[in-house]
Amino acid sequence: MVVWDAENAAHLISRAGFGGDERDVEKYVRYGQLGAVEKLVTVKGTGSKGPGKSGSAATDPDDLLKLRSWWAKRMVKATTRRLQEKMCLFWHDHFACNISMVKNNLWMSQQNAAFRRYGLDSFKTLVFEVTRDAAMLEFLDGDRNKVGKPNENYGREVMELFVLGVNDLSGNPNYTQTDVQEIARALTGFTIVDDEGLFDPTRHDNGSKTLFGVTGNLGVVDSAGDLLPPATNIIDILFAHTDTDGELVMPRYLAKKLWEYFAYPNPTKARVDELTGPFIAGGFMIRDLLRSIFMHDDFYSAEAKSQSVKNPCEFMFHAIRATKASTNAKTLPDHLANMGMNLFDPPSVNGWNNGLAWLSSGQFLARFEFAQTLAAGRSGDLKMSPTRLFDRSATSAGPVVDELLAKLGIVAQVPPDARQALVDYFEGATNFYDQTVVEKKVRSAVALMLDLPEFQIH
Amino acid sequence: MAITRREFVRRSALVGAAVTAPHPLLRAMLGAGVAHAAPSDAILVLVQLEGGNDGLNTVIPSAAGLQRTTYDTKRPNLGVPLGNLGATGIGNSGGTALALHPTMTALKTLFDAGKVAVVNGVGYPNQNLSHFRSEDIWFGALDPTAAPAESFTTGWFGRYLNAAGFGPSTIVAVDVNETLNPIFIQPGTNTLAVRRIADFALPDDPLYPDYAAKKAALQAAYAVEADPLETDGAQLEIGTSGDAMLGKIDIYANVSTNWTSNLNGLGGSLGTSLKQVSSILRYDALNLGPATGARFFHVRLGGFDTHTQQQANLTTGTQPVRLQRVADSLKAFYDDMVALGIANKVLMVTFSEFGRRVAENGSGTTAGTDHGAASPLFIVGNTVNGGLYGTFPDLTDLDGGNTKWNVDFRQVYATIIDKWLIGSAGAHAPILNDSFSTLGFLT
Repeated sequence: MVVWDAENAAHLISRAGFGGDERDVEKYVRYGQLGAVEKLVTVKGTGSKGPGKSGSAATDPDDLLKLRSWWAKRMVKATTRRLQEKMCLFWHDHFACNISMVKNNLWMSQQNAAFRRYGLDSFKTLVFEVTRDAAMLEFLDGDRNKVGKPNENYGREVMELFVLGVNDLSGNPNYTQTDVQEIARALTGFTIVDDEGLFDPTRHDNGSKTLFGVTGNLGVVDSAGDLLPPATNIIDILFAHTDTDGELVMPRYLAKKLWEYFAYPNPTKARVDELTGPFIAGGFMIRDLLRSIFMHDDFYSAEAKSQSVKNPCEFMFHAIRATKASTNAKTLPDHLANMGMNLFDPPSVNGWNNGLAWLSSGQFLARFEFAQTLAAGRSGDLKMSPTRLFDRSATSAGPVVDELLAKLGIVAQVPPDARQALVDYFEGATNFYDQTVVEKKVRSAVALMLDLPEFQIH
Repeated sequence: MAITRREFVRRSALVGAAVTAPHPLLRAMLGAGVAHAAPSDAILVLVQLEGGNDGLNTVIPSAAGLQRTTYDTKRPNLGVPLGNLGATGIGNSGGTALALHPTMTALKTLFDAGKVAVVNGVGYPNQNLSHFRSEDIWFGALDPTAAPAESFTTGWFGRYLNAAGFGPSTIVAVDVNETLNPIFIQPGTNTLAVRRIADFALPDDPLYPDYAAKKAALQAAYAVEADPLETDGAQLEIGTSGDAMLGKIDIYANVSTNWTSNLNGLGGSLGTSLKQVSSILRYDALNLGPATGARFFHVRLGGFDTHTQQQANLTTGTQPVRLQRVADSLKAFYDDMVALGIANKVLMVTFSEFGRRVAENGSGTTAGTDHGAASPLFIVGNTVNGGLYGTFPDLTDLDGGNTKWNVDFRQVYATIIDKWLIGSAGAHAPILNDSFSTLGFLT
């Protein structure tokens, strides 16, 4: 067990959520490590669904903005549901569909609700729901995959990206092109009726298929739409697939991906295997995998801290929370899009490129732009009160700069000479007897601090 | 642009003392008629067709025969009729007469002028038909036969930048995109990624309008962050690239896109992206301010993953519209370069992660094609030895329904590195981690 202090609690809620202010951190210190992790992974209820209209209204751009704002607001304000929303974002990146091709706000909204509802529970249920999800059927042509005219698009990605990965942890291929063709046939029959994904038995290929040594009339559901038994259900067959070490492919693949998302890249095979035990024993409940990650000492190691680039949601929501700003979230989606994370529109089925890819020059400057807008914010869109962030009795710049850096959680990371540049800027033309000027200068200084490398990482 | 001492030292070290690049003038006398760019002047524009372009409907069998019959049989809905290929013929390969898709007349014009090399049958062994694996292989110039499989770590162009001595503070490459393409990923190098030049600017401060002071403070702070004595790890990496970026902002602020370019009015994102490139090159060529120094560019056009509704008719639908944009945009960009007097320095190369299945899927206008293998690519430039390279794949001899490759994609890279970027035979080997025979599309 690690020493449960403010640094570790702040790390946990930054990675497993969207960060917080100092009071939030104090709260998670008080819970203790196990209590904090349990609070995160245990979420009751079905979760909510955002706005989205059916039929010809489903492509309305104003409604799409409403949907994006609705979700951004849930993320920026999430407290007990912070990991649920974070996982919603993870699954949106993992089972990535985009509105550019789906062209239906309602379907994207429904998919988002499914990620929220099932995102911490059974991975098998989640894969099944995604397989018959209207947005996914449209995005990866499942709707056009029928007997005699198989379309490989979904079948390939379900193995390559969603469940197995191209290669196992030893670098050996997990499947062949024949497997892709066979699973595509097994997946025939799904179609979209009245905004819902349905199974139409007349479109299903009832011939014999073979996947990973299992032969039969493989599929997902029977003609009544109920899940097939494991012997002929391709989701079960995928989950039972073993690698060249004789280990289950799926738990290793998902554990590695989640570890890389929450902790650090390229974990060893041994590290991955330390995470999968409870997940396998408990019948593939996602929360078991997450608990293993957040309880692992190495999640709190130096390798896992301050080395991962915040994605735009993490950057933005942490900035808003740490500066105690308020927002109606209406303008947030456009800022996120400029930073490279247009919600409901990831670039491809492979999702977004994480890590340093977020800091390409144009998107880096979009962060500067947002930082400026937030720091100057005096309207319902974004409202930041400088007086809540510093001691107004201060008579020199140094303590104010340090207080602001502490509020942003980066006071220990910023090098002394960079801090001095901020102090010099603050002192230039600032009259500490004129509070109006000081408050304006605090706003400008906060914008500068949010631009620093230290705030881009966590 | 003068070669820096560091670049010279690195380059010499790279190619060894015995091999030196011939003087460009000498090379022109020895080789094809037109003077090449010197390697230190060479400009390269990589044009990515994202999603897997259907090569078989890009370069099409255009005369009766076995290949054409096979094409017609496998593509009853998507096949371009013989009667529509009369105006875009580009000659014979392996005994098969070939023509460009009928929407690509602009590229045909350039081809007839000898400015286009069409490389047929480009691919690699062990194609597993995954977009992402194939992109990793193309971006990283990975060895597809390595066992266990080789993961992507650095991009082939980033490795070139490193080998040529372009460090993190020397920004010579621009990706005209929101995100940086992995081609450029290489520690110790730095590439800008901006979709629009106009967006490459610091935000103003409406409340405390001390732009100059604020920018100075940011630059001062970032100078510290970029110092390895002050920071390390991700902090240092972000600090270094941010510091270099801040140094370029004022220069790029002078680059105008408001001028009479041949790309003006061309629809689509490719035309707009190439307009950014054209504008940067114009600014440097005409000495309109402190030079950007940018010579290497990547632009992309998406939407080639045509599993369905690939072609409504010969001029509309997903692929025909895009092919026309590619042809029109490349021609307009070429014309810009001629007008600016720098056409001899500029090379354009198209690529896509793979081609598509020979047999179409679906039926009627919903027909599309699934992921495939070998595909053609185009090399365009004033000093290109125009014509056909590689061999048109035999449509009766397929591998899992896909065309077989006969040109390794790394041969194309090797040719560009040896004959364009560095100017000495064999220079590609340390960059591509292997030696490949080069092709004749450059001299």
